[in-house]
Formats: sequence, C-alpha cells, structure tokens
Amino acid sequence: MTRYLARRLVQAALTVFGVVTAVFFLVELSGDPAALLLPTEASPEDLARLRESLGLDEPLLVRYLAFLGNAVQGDFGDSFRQRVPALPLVLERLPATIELALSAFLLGIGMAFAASLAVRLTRSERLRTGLLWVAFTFQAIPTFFFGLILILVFSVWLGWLPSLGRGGLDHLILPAFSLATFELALYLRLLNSAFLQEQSQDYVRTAYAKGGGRAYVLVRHVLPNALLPIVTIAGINLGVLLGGAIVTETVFSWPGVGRLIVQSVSQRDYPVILAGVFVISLVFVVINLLVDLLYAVLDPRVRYS
Amino acid sequence: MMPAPLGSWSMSFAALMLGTILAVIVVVPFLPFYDPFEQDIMSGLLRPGTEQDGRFYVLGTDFLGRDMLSRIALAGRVSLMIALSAVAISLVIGVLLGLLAGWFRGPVENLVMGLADLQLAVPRILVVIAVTAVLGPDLITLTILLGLTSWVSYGRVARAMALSLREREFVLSATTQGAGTGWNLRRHVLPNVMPQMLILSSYELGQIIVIEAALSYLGLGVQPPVPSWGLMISEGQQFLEVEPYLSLLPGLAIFMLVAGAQFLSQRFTPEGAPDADLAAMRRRR
Repeated sequence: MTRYLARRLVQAALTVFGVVTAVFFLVELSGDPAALLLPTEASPEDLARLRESLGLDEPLLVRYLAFLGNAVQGDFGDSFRQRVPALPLVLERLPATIELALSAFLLGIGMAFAASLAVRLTRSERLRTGLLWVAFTFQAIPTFFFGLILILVFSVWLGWLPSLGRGGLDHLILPAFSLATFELALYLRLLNSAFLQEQSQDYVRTAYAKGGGRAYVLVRHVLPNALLPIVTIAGINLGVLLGGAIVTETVFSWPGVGRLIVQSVSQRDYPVILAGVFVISLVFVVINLLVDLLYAVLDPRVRYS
Repeated sequence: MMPAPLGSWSMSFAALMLGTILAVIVVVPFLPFYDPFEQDIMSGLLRPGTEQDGRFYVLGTDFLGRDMLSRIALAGRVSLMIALSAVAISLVIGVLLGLLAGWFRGPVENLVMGLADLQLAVPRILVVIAVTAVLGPDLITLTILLGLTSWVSYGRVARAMALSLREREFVLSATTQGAGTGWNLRRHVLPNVMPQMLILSSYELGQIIVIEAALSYLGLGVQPPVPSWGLMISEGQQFLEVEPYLSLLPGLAIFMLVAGAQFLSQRFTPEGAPDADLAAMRRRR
C-alpha cells in the first residue's frame, strides 16, 4: 500500500510537471507578449525596456529554469495586465469554482441516485425508459446552451432568479443546475447498467432467499457493489466538471478560475494562464489520487501492486 | 443486433432529427436565396417567417440582416467538417496505439497507457484552450488539436479487445501457419475491433461537435465572419431578452445533430455502453 501510494504520488507530481512544462513552451512559441502590451506606436527602446523589466530578454533555457524554480515556490510571475502576482489572483477565484463544481456534482449525483433507486424499487419499465430519455436528451444539449435556456426561462421570462454573478444561494441555483445536468445524464446511464448487472448476481438471489425485502437488498447489498464503478467515473468526472465549469462560468459571469483563464487568453496574460492551468490540473490530479485510494476502501478485492 | 433500449420508435425519431438537420446542411446551399454573408442592416433582426422586400425569411435574420437559415446551414458544414476530420484523426491514432499496446504488451503497453493517463490528467477543453491561447484560433489547428486530444477512448477499448483477441484460436491458428504480426493485426484483429470503434466514433462525433461549439461560443474556435453554431449562440445572447430565436435556433441545430447521432449509436450498442470502458478500467488495475 505504501509503495503504491509512493508510486502514485510520483506519477501525480510528474503529470503536473509535464503539464506546466508543456504550457510554458507553448507560451514561448506564441511570440512576444511585450509587443502586445504596448500601443503600436511605442518606440523600440520602450519595447526593449519592457522586455527587460518582464525578464523576456534572457535565453529560453535560463527562463525555463528560472520559471521552474519560481513555480516550485508558488511564484508564476506577475499578471501582465494587473501587475500583481498571478497565483494569488487565481487562488482567490478558486473558492467560487469549487463552490460551483461541488454543488453541481452533488446535485447531479443526488438526482441520479434518487431516480435510479426509484426505478429499481418500483421496477417500472416506463419510468426507466423515461429517465433514459431524459439522460440522452441532456447529454446531447451543450451545457452552455442549456444554461442559456435556463436564463431565458427563469431570469428573463419568469424573473425568479438572477442570471449573472455570484452572491447568495439564488445566484448559485441556475449555474449549478445547468452544470449538473451533464453529470445527471452520465450517472443515470451508469447507475442503470450497474444496477442491472448486480441485480442478476448470485448474492442477490441469496439475500432474497434469506427473506430480505426489496428495499433492504437494494440498499444493503446491491448499492455498495453498484457504487464501485460509479466512484471511479465520478472522480474522473469531477475533474471534467472543473473543465466544464470554464464554459458555464462564462455563460453566467461566475467569477471563477475558468472565466479568469478565458479572459486571460483573450488578453494574452500568460502568467495568469500558466497559474490557472497549474491550479486546475493540480486539483484534477489530487482528486484522481483520492479516488484511487477510495477505491481500495470500497473494494477490498483491489490489490495494489 | 440488440433491441433499442429506448423503445423501437426512438430509432425513427432519431433518424428524423438527424435527417432534417442533414437535409438543411446539404440542400440549403443549393437554394436560390442562399447567402450566409450578405448584410442588410435595414432588414436586421427579422423574426422567423417574415416577408420583406418580396423575400421570405424562413428563420429570420440576425442583427446584421444576414439570413439565419443560410448561416445555420453553412455553420453545420463547418462543424461537421471539423468534427469528422477530428474523429478520423483520433480514430487512426487510437486504434493504432491501442492495438500495438494490446498486442505487444510490456513496455509498449506501459508507454501507451501512460500517455493515456497523462491525457486524462487534464480536461480536454483546458488543453485546447491553452494551445489556442498561444497559437491563435484557426480552423486547421482546432481540428488537429481536437483529433490529437480525443484518441484515448478508442485506444483503451482497442487495447482491451486486442488483449483478448490475440489469445483466440483463429489468431493462434494463423500464427502456427506462419502469419506475422502485421498480417495478424491487419487481417484478424483489426476487422474484429472496427465495429466497436465505429460505434464509439459516432458517440465521439457528438462530443466533438459540442466541444467545438463551446470553444466557438467562448470566441476560441471558429472566427467570424465564418459562421458556427457556438458563435451564433454567443452573438445572439445579447438579444436574448428581445429576440431569443437568435440563440435558440443554432442551439436546436446542435441538439438535432448530436442527439440524432448519439441515439443511433445507442441503437447498435448493448445496454449500458460505457461498460466497455469501465471493464477496461477495472482490468487495468
């Protein structure tokens, strides 16, 4: 277990390192950010002075090593636009993103569980087909477009909920629900097939033979086994959700990391992009690591080698 | 073939949606009024079904007075072209790497699966955004990027299938008769893997169309004046309160294409399609 943990930690660190390195060299490919910062009529001397003050006049390898050394200490340089350190700028947006992603995650998985359990308990074929229809429909609607429909109906037409920004719970409802529908579709399908698969296992028949009721067998025996594949997918998906949040945040003007990255891309504010990609991939990798460990707790059959 | 899990009429419904949107994409450019670019401020923001100056606008016009039906049709061509090329690129890469990994095992397998893990360690859209930020938005770059970042699902399933196929009797029998690796992969493994790969690609096609739409919505995909469904949704968003059709129509077009393709792919997939990937994941441990 300890060896497995050590190997996974090294793997995770390598991944983050790889991502950050890739982004650094990509940024290098893109040309001279100093030219973008100054007005077009700026003199070459001004340009040179700015390049020097931003450290852009050093050789590539020197800049890469300096960048790595600083990055390890959490220093990704100053934002070109706002002239403040980039990482804190990203980190102060992180709670908003986590709030959105986590509520969407819980909302999606909660609705999917409630719906699937209802299907299993009632054994209604009609309900099952109906829910699968909902799942397929939601999977085919881009989340940003669904978000727009939500704004149209609940903000513009009904006037019940605010469409922009972050604030109280009423601000959270629309973006979280819009992001959750993507989740909902996936989990509905997965839970449905996981339940079907487990339902025909011998241990279920045994449990019935011993006199277990439908609800008891479902919750006590089937659910824990059906949970297993869901945990893996859910973990990977929490990360995908962070990615999906990038678009949802823009639709609802939600002040999170995703929106910051998109804004920084259009402003070519590379330190902020670098720090943003670093933070999101770090969160992603940590979540995947936790999921793998959780897997062992849920399924003692899993052996780490 | 498995029965459709969503009921038998789902097939006809999916075919109808897909057929309608494909008909719009294919037929409209041949109609006499087709012009996705001509601006006419005087006839801007006409609602669907309006007649003006002797011309009938079936789906109305956008804020610059451009014909919505023409733009939706051209945007569909652009989207389909990007998505089909990206799917082709990722299919080739994924099948190739997956088969090699499953056939040779050992270091090749470790390398390919390591690459897959690395790919999965970052959200696809984040990779595309980061690269676009640097190289600038461009149709060809976008297509190649989407292709390069979408091979993992093919690779995993192809590898899992190759793992079991290489132990099968018909492969062993070919090997004893002197068949080499190339012959076996080409003649025995590939034909057995391809049907699964094609089902997977019809699902992926929908996903890529959605991702392209999202990127174009963010302004990082297709650039104006070339129309794209995502771009049209974002252009229409500022008029959401007064003329919601500007955003709703392109959204509906995406839905018809993506839902149609995915319902059809479900038709040919046994209950619970993601299981193939789940099984592959379990085996990986």
